[in-house]
This record gives sequence, structure tokens and C-alpha cells, in this order.
Amino acid sequence: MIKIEGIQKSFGGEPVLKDVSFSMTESGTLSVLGKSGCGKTTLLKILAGLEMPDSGKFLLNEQNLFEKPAQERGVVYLSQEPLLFPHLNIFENIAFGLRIRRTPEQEVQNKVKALSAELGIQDHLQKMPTQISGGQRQRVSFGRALIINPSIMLLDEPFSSLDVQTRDEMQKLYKSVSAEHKITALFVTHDLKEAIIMGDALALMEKGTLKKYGSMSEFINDPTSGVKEAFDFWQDVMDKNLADKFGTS
Amino acid sequence: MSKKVLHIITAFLLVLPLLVIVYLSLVYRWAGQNLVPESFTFDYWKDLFTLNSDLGSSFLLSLFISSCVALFSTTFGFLISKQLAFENKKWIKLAYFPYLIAPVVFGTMLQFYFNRFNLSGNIGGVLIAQLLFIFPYSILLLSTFWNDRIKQMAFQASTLGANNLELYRKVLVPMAKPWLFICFVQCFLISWYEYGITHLIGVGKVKTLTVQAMLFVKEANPFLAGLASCLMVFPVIILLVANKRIFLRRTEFL
Repeated sequence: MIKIEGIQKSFGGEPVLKDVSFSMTESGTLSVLGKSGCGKTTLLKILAGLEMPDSGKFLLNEQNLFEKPAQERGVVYLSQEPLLFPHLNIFENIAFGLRIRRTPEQEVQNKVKALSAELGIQDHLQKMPTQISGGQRQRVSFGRALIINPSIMLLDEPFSSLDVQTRDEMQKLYKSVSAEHKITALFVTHDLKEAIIMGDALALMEKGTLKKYGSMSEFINDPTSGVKEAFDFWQDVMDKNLADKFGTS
Repeated sequence: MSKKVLHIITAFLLVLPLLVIVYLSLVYRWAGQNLVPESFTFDYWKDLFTLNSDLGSSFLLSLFISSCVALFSTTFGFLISKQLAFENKKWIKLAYFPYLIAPVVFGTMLQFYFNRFNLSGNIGGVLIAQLLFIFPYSILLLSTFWNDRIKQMAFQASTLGANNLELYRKVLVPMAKPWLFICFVQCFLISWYEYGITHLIGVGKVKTLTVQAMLFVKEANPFLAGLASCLMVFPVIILLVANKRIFLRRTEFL
């Protein structure tokens, strides 16, 4: 069980996170929907250990991870950009976490090959990051995080820089791989559709506060979630389309 | 065709001063009224390799001072510029201070304190004085490496399990290699050609190659001045060629 308790953070006296608390079960993805500037990236950076909170706890099996440095938390943060290490080829990028942990060479070879096949990048292992596409780079970044078997993955709008088709492919890939590897993840996005597709549970972040929903229907029926507006918008489009097609008003 | 001729002329003009100093270093006797030298010799060059050669020791001393200054500036410039670029960016402006005034004036300002702390006229003093002038340059140069993308990559490496040492060894230093090499070469060159501060703080006792070359010029000995100039220029050419190669291979992704 993962528990986040009372996280607060201010920058220059301006509160960015206000008493953020929620819990999530292991082996599931919590989608956090929020507009730009609502504090979702700050929350992820705090959980990853890249920013310090003013107060709060991050409990994993009753152990407060805030007491550990970033490199010992087992929490991997994936940003919008894949950020592959430019001096390493794809194989070494994926193997990075294993090399840090001094994993035996044969195990590194086996794990990287198996995971790269799963992610569909097995033919690119000897290439450099500049020689592959944006979607492939995101797969490599995902593989690099996955291979160390992290306690939690924090995904900060990881597919937002991809084109629509690649984004759909990546969403499907993430769903299948996360189910296969029983990944525990916090998936942050500003895209309503993506939040619904990716999450096993949903939360909404607004002005530094986070609200987690007990069920999908609770999320849909919440007027602040934006589902109703989106639904009304598409309903309106459909109605107009029908009216134009059949000449009725 | 005219472009080729232009290239040849430019190359000739660039190489000409080098040819002149090599030529001068081989002249044995050249009376003022003669158009060409009376005789040539390799003796000056041969003397370089004898144990009591002043120029040979100056060459080694310059090599030692410049290597120390370049190594220190590059290593600590890398570490400190990271802190400044990510934590206290406004402090980087302070590094411009030594370049707001002429090196000789800077040296004169330092001289008072160096005298008080018995640092004048010895190698340690010259090393410190040169560092005070060159180290800020390395901060300025290397602070251009630290951008938000590098910061994000460092964060990424940390969350993947890299501690501080591994972060430098496996991520930051390999990525910064071209910058580090350029910084080392530039700092080496500034130190190698430094005259004003070295002359003032060294009070003529620390005879680096530039100090020695100036001595020959003052003595109106163009042959040994030519030889000293050769010694000054050739290592620099080697460094510049290596520097250019590294620079051209500079990674495009950063």
C-alpha cells in the first residue's frame, strides 16, 4: 500500500501543493488529471526526490520514502521528453540502472534483450538515441525505467510530445506492459481521454489540491472533472453533424 | 580558381610568422647590414636538451604551471559551475570581475597581498595568481554546459539509482567531455601565454617561457627569442589541432 500524507510545498511564499493526501494500491495505475500549473509535476518531483516537500509523508509499506535520497527510493520519474543519455547507445541506455546496480553481464544481456523484444525495439539496440524516432525513444525510456523493477513509476505526461498515432500505440503498449509487469504507477496528464484510458483509478488535481475518486461513475458525475463538458461538446458536434446531414433542426 | 589562390595566400600569411621564428632559431650570425645571415646552426636546438639549458627548464616550468592551472580550473570549474548554474545563477556574474581590468593592473592589485604572504617570486605564488585570473574563465565557459536538459538528465539518472559519484562518472563527465577538453585547452593556452601577472608576481625569478622570451627580446637576441617563440608556438598548434577535432565532433544533441 502506498500512502501520501499531507504534502505541502510553496515556492517563494506561493503555495503550490496544499495538503495533498491519497493512497493507492500496488500493481495499478492512478491517473492524475490536471491543467498546466496545477502542481502535478511538482508533486511527482517531490515523490521522486528531486524536490523537497515543506511537510508530508510518502509511505511505502509503512516506510517513509522522504527519508531516503532519490537514488535509494526505487521511484523512477519519466518526463515528457524521453531524455536518453546521448553518449550511450540504446542497449546501454536500457541497461543503465542494471550497470549502476552492478548486475552480472549475462543477466544484463538477457534482461535487456527480453525487454527490448517486448517493447519492439530489439532491432535498434546498437543505435544511438539520435538515430531512432520519438516513439522509439519513449519506448527506450520506458524500458530503462522498467528494467530495474521500480516500486513506483511516475509518468509526467510521457506521451504528450508524440503524434496521435504513436501516442495511441504507446498507450496500448503501456497498458499491456504494465499489466504484464504489475507496474505501480502515477500517470499525470492534462488529457481527459488519456487519463481515462491509462488509469485503473482516477484523481483530479486543481490549484494544488488532489481529489481521488472512488469509482469511474463518481469521476464522470463530478462537474469539476470536465467529463460532462467534453461529453456535451461531442454531443453538440454529433447533433450538428446529423442536422447538416439530414437537414433537420 | 581565385578562391583557391585566396586560400593559398591566406595560408601563407598565417604560416609566414611561424616560418620566420623557425628561420631565426637556426641563424648563427647575422650582421645588421647583411640581407641574409652569414651562417646557420642547430646548436640552439641541441642546447635545449642539455641539463643546464635555461630555455629547456623554462619550457618544463611553463608546461608544469599551465598543466596545473588548466587541470585545476577545469576540474573545479566543472564542479563549481554546476552549483552556480543550478543553485546561485547570479553569482556567475562575479566571474567577469578579473576581465574588467587589464591583467597587469590585476597583477598589481594582487602584488601587495602576495608580498605580505611571501608569495612573490615563487612558483606557488605564480600558480595562485594565474588561477585567480584563469579559474573564473573556466566557470564562465563551463556554465554554458549546464542547461535545463542536463539538469533533467541528472535527475533521471538519480531516480534510476545513480549516486553522486556515479552521476558524474557515468553521465555528466561523458556528456561534458567536449566542454571539458575545450576548457582545459583554453585555460592551458591562457596560462601558457600569460606574461603580465607572471612577471609581476614572479618578480623575474619564476622564468616561464614567456618571461624568458621577453628577456631575449630585451637583450636584442632575436635568435634565442626565435627559439623561445618556437617552443611557445608548437605545443599550442598541437593542442589547437586536437581541440578542433574534438570541437567538430561535439555532440549535436545538447
